[in-house]
Parts: sequence; structure tokens; C-alpha cells
Amino acid sequence: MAPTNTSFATAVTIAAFPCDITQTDINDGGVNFTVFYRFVAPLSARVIGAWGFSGNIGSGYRPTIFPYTGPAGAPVAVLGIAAQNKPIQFPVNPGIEYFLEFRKNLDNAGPNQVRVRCEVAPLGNPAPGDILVNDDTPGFPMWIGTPTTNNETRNFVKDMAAAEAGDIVPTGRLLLEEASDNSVRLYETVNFTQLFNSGTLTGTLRIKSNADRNLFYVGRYTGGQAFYRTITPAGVMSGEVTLTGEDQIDGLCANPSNLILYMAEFGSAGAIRRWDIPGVTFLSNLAAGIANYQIPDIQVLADGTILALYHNLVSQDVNIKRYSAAGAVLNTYSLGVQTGTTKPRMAWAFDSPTSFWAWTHTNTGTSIFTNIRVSDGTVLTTRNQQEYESGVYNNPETATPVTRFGNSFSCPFMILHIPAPPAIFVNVVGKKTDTNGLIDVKIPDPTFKTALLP
Amino acid sequence: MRDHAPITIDDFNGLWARGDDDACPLDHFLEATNIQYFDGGFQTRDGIDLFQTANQLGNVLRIHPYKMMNGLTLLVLTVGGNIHHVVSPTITFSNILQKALMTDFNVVSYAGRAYITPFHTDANGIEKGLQNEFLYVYKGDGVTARKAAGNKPTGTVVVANGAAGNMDAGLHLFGVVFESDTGWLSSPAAFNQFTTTLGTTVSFSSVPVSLQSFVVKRHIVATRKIENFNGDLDGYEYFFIPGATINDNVTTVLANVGFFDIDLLEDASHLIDNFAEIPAGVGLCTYHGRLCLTTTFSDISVAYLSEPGEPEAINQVDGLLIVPLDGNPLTNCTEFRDVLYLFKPIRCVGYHDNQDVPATWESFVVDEANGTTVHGIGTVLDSGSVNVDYLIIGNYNGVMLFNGGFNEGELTYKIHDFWHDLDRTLFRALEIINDTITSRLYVILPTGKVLFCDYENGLDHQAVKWAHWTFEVFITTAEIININRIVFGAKVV
Repeated sequence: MAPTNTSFATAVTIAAFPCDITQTDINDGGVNFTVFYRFVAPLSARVIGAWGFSGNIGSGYRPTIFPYTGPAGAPVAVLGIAAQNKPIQFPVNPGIEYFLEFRKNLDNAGPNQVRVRCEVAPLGNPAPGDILVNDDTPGFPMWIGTPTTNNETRNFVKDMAAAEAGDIVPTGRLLLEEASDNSVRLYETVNFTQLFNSGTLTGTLRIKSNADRNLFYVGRYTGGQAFYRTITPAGVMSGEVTLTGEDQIDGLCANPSNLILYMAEFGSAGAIRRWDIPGVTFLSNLAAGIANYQIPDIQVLADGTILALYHNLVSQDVNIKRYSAAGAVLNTYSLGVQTGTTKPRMAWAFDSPTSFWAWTHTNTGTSIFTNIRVSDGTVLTTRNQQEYESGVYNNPETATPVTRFGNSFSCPFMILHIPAPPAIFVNVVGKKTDTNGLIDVKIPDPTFKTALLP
Repeated sequence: MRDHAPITIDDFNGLWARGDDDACPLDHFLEATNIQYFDGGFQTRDGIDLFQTANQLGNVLRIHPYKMMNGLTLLVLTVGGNIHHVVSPTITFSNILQKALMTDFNVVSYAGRAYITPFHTDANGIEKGLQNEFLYVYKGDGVTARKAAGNKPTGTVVVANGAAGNMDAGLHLFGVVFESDTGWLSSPAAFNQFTTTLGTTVSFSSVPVSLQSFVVKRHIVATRKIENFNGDLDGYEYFFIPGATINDNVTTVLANVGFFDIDLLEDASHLIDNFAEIPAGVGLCTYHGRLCLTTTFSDISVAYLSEPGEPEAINQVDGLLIVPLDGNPLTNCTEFRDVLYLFKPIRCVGYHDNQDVPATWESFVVDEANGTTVHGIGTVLDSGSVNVDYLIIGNYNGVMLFNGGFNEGELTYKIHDFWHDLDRTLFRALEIINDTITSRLYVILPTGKVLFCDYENGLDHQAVKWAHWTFEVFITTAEIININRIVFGAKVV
């Protein structure tokens, strides 16, 4: 018998999460049917993971999942997500109706089935030291992972800027590029509220905090000219400085006291240049370019030494060199040859300048986050995480996906700093609520019980 | 039910946590959480709000009052070992003292300055001053606190005859004393000998200049005439020469200083054995104008006392008291009824000032079973620790009244079982605030909660009314400001 849930209007309701439903009536008389499910996003949900798996891999009936927002009469595709036989993740709004279409790929003799599994993404409290990866595609949420356990998602944050540039300072302020309008946006990590929007900054953007970790530098290039400006963690944006003599920039970072801006020329064999910030002119190069290597990230440590992330565009070798301010190589930290081709990244560690983090990629959609001690190159932590790119499991279809949630593969990453909430309180006569430092909360359960009560 | 006899409770007398539930009097509560009492009734406790509106501090470990000349402010220790000066809800001077290993501190206000001692809990659970750390002085201006006391002069002052004037003939020794912007006087140093001539003043040159930026004056000191000099430059009694002061830290000459030996009255010899750096301790109080500091890293049973009126002048030889050694550290100190009381966790001894140096003071035992913890002496309003004629002190036995001895019948009698279930190893967190205006006690517990006590019906174990206060945040400390506003500090756990 043919299935009945063959339209938005007749979709089967998923009543509770997680769900695991196997529908066996996909095929009727040699015809496979596209089937539909619906659910109302739970009140706690920010991201839903969904997966329709036929049991076949590489051939045969293998449905493609498409998520939609409702209502049934006017469904709208969610972020263009589609995945054949593979898991997806997509942001949801609590209480809103969603649909999942499992579109057939062919007709065959059958029998066929689709196993529908859905779950709500973890809702853990972000903690200092967590790994943040904001997505590279607008609309997708920022992923937060734990720094200690492989493939462990802490939570997602929706409605964050998404693009290829961003950084964080220890006070918990986060500056991210937004690709939809080429703006940069400042957030407070206590509650991920947006504090500032620069408006459109035409061109390609780079963002990095300075060595003092109290000022964001925003590099920009367009029309054969590179520029930079600064934005304070309070959201005060400076005027733009023209980097006369440079047309494009890649990694950049200012040294302590903001005297020198180190910047890498874009592309293969780019040198590390030094820009005299007060003198408004280029100085001699810190380091010459290395054949085939690009430098996606530079971080200047508090002691004035410079970390430069080198990525070989041919061999995919990744290493980080630590330079003295005079240009001598003090350390070389080798991360080996990454099997993926995605640009590696570097981030400030929670204990910077003691250590730093780097992010490399495999060709099986795994992100490798590595925490490296500056003094001797000891690897303090290696953390693997399955990627979900454009909402789709970034690995071949499988009956046993590594994890049901993950990070985008190409974007900046940051180690989360969360400032402690305000913690000096005063007793207020007659006040009916408490505060927890962030918001007013009810006074915890005033309770009394006399000896008369059982 | 027609003829039932209703039970009327006229007064609610607070929490009862002693013995079986059956033992609870009908007018007491087996549970009393987040309520406060008024007259005979009770209501939900008052809420809390943020104290700071700008530069808000998080992860607070300790708050102490700092009395400046123009008002009461707060010194706040946050996680990471940073002390901040909260002048008002909108003004905070950040990081006026940073010591990464500091997990607690004490402060005493003296002449508008704050004397701060950083301490921590060692691996054995003992609170002691930080190793290789010191007593600090902070002037309240946002400038980072500096070590109290300082280094003495170096070099040699040059002495020569000056113009005609007052002078006795004979060999005199001369030296230089630095004076800081906080009134600290260094040990005399840069000595030189000179045989003065009758009727001829002396002039000084090469008066040492201090590299310490806080030195604002230099004084010339001298001995009286020495008949048989033995060559020991610092073995004689030095006196400040009247008027022989250079009121800056630049000038190196002082000409035509005349004096007679009989004019040499103000002794400077007591400065010779003073600490140049005063080790950090735990307890800190004032007694008869002296600063008292206890429990340094190396001497957990020693209390140092400064010279009266000179909190940075602590004599290493005779400015100390040694409490009988028993392996337990001094935890607290306070002045009460003209007596200096030093506390250990379960012991209390007293000392009377005999008008001689502290090392000569005799101790007397106050209690061999009751002491207190590092913050266990109640703070009264925003003025200090003494109220009417008692102290309120918390210890392993409960919260007790102290009027020279611990009163029998602890205030926590009604909640005896609760108190004794508390983890003794965490009693360092105990802190007591006494708001005498509203007749309330607030006891900060190791659990991050507060024991609330209403004593409007009297401050004795039968009349007080207790309740638990809980919060979404982990309360670590409390203080009173503006006479009787209660300020709580909290940390993230």
C-alpha cells in the first residue's frame, strides 16, 4: 500500500524529541514515494538535527532530506539545506511548525524504507575555554564545542554574524564579519547580544585583536588597495588608514602598544610586512615570503614575539613560526600535512600567551583543533570535531555518523571568553526580586514549615 | 471538628534545627528559607540588586570596608588575586593590588590609608600570609598600593662646620632618616661621625636621595656627645634634630643646623630594627594606635605590633607577641575594652598594653575552647566590630557573644544541629555582619548561603529568630555600607 504522508498537508507528526521512526511503505508496486513529516520545534530547541537514512549507501533508494518552515500551505525551504541519505542540522524557532521532506531519488522494485531520526541539539551553558566557530554562510548558527572531548557540541547560538573573519578579546567581546552586507558586528558573549554594527565595509575583510587584546583591527582590501581601521571592544570605530603600497592583506595583528601592524601579503609566498602605525608607513619586512605558503593568520603575543601560521597551498603542510620582533625564527611548530584543503586558522588561547590554538582539516570532514604551548611546542590538547557544512554532514553517507551536530568547515574560530557577571549586590528593602548579575530573577522559593505541618 | 481547640501562634520565632523534629516548638519553623521577620510575623525577604552601575566586578572573593577621610568605600578581591577600590557605584579603581596567589586579604584603615595584607590557605588548610609577600599601603587615589615601610638611606652624609650658632662641642654621630608620604620613617642610616665645635653649627651635604618615589622628606638625626666612641655607628641612641628636615627628595645639602644636646628629645633609635619590608600576614587590626599583624608565612603564632601612631614602623626585635605554640595558627585579632585579643581556631588569649614594648606584655588565657576564624568576628554597622559592650564571634561551637569572655548559650542554640553539620574545614568562609539599626545578623556560610538572624526581641539564644537565605549566586562575602546597607559579594561556581 502506498504511504499516506506524501504531501505537506498529510505529513506525519513527530510528537516528541528525540524521535526514531522507520517508515517501511515507501515503495508501492515499484514506485517509491516522497514522504513528509512535520513537527513543532520544542521550546528549548535552537537547532534540530534530522536524518533520513534508507540503509543503502552509494546506490539504490536514498532519499534527500529538505527542511521547511510551515505552514503546510506555504512551506519555505530552510537555508537551502539538502542532503541525500546524510544527517543535517538547521536552526529553528521554538513553537514554530517545520516540515521535513524525504524526496525519492528513483523508482525501483523495493521494498524500501526510510528511518527518520531527529533530535534537539545540546543546550549546555557556554563555558570559558569553549571553542567557537561561527558559520561561513549567513543564517547558520554559531557552533560552540567543548575543548576537552572529541565531537562534543556544547550549544549553538543563532542569529550571529556569519562570514570568514572574526576575533574575540578577553573581556568577552566578539567581533564578527557578516557576509550578507559586508559589515562587522560586535557581540557580548555573556548573552551573545549584538552591541554594534559597522554598516557595509565594501571589499574583503580581515579581523584580529591586537597583542594587548583590547582593540580589534579590521583589515580591508578592495579595488587594488588595502586599508585598516580599529574598533574598540566598546564599539567605537576609528577612521580608515590607507596601507599605501599594499593591495591585499591576509593575516594581520598589531604588536603591544599598537606601534607596529604585522600583516601578511595575500596569497602564495607572501611576506610578513611591518606597518609603522604612528609613522603611517611601511617598515622593512619582518620575514620574506616562503614559496607556496600563504599566511592566513598572525598573532602577536604579549612579549612582542609573532606567531605566523603558514599553509602550503600545494602540499597542504601547515606550520607555525614564532618570530622575534627582529625577525629571527624562535620556534617552528609543525602540524604536519593536513589532508583537507581548507585554509587552516589560528586563535588566541584562554591562557595566551602561554599557548595558542590552531585548526586544521582532514579530507573526511574532520576539524582538528590543537592547543600548543608556546615555550616548547608541546601539544596540550588535540580535539577532533565532525564538520557540518551548509548544515550537512561533511562526510560520505554512512549508517554510523560520527556525530549528529558539528561546526562549519571554513570560518574563523575563537576560544570563548565570558566575563564573570557582576557580583556585588546590595540588599534593597522592599524589592521583590533578586538579580543574578545579569537579569532579575525570583527570590528562590520562600519556604516555611512549622512543626504542625506534616 | 465542631469542638476542636484551635492552636493559635501569636509569634513566629524562627528556624529550629536542634534534635528531632518532634522537639521543635510549635511557634518555630522546621523550614525557614528566604523569609525575614517583622514583629511577630514573617514575609519574603528583601531582594538584592546590583551595587555597581559601572565597571562592574565579577567573581568576588572578599569585600572589606576602607574608611577614607571623606567616606566609606570598599576594597574588593576578585578571583585571580586582584584587589579593586570601589569608591562608589559608578567609580572603581581597578587592580590596586595584584597578587596571583592571593585568595583572601585583610585590611585596616589608618589615617585615611588602607593597610592591606594578602593571604591564602596553604596545603594544610592553614591561612597564612603569602610567602615572600608583604604588607601594602594604599592611599585611596587609585595609584597601585605599594609595600609598607621601605628601604633606609645608603651612602654617607657629609658633615662640616657651619656658621656660628647653638652647638655643644664633642663627637657626635649623624645620620639620615627618610620619611614617606604616608608618614613612614626609615631606619637611620648614612651615618657619619663629626666632632662639633662649641658655638658653631653644622652643615650637611651629600644627604642621600631615595630612589623610592614615595619619600617626601629627609631628616637629619644625631646622637648626643659621645665620650668614648667604640666605632659602632648604629649602636648609639639617635635623636631627630629639631628643624633639621629637608622637605623634598631632591636637595642634598642642609646648612647651618644648630642645636644643643639637651634639644635632642625625639628618639629615632627605635627605627633601627624596623622592618624595611613587613611580611604579609592574616589578622590585621589596630590597638592603642598600633597596627597589629598576625600569622606571617613563617610564624603562624606571632603577632607584630607597630609603634603607636606609626603603622609602618614594626620593630623586628621587640615589636612582637608570641602566642604559646600549639601548632594552630592565629586567625584573628581585635581590640576590645582596652585589651588586645588574639584568636586561634579554638583558643583566645589577651594582652594588656603595659606602656612598654610589646615583647614585654604578659598574656592571659581567655578561653581554651573557643576561638574564631579569619573573618569570624562580626562587623558592626560600617564602623567596626564592637557594639554596646560585646563582640559577636563565630566559631566551631556557634555564633557567640563575647564581652571579654565567651558568653554561655550560643546564639545558634536553636540551630545547633545545622551549625554542627557545617564543614569545619571550610570555616574560613564564615563572615558575620551585625546591623544594629534593624537588629539583624547576617552570617555568610561556606555553602554560599546566608544565615539570617533577627534579634529585635533581644540578643540571646532564646529570643533570636533564624532563617536560611539562598540566592541564585554563590555568596562569598558581605559588608555594611552607608550605616546599614548590606552589600554581598558572589562568585561563579
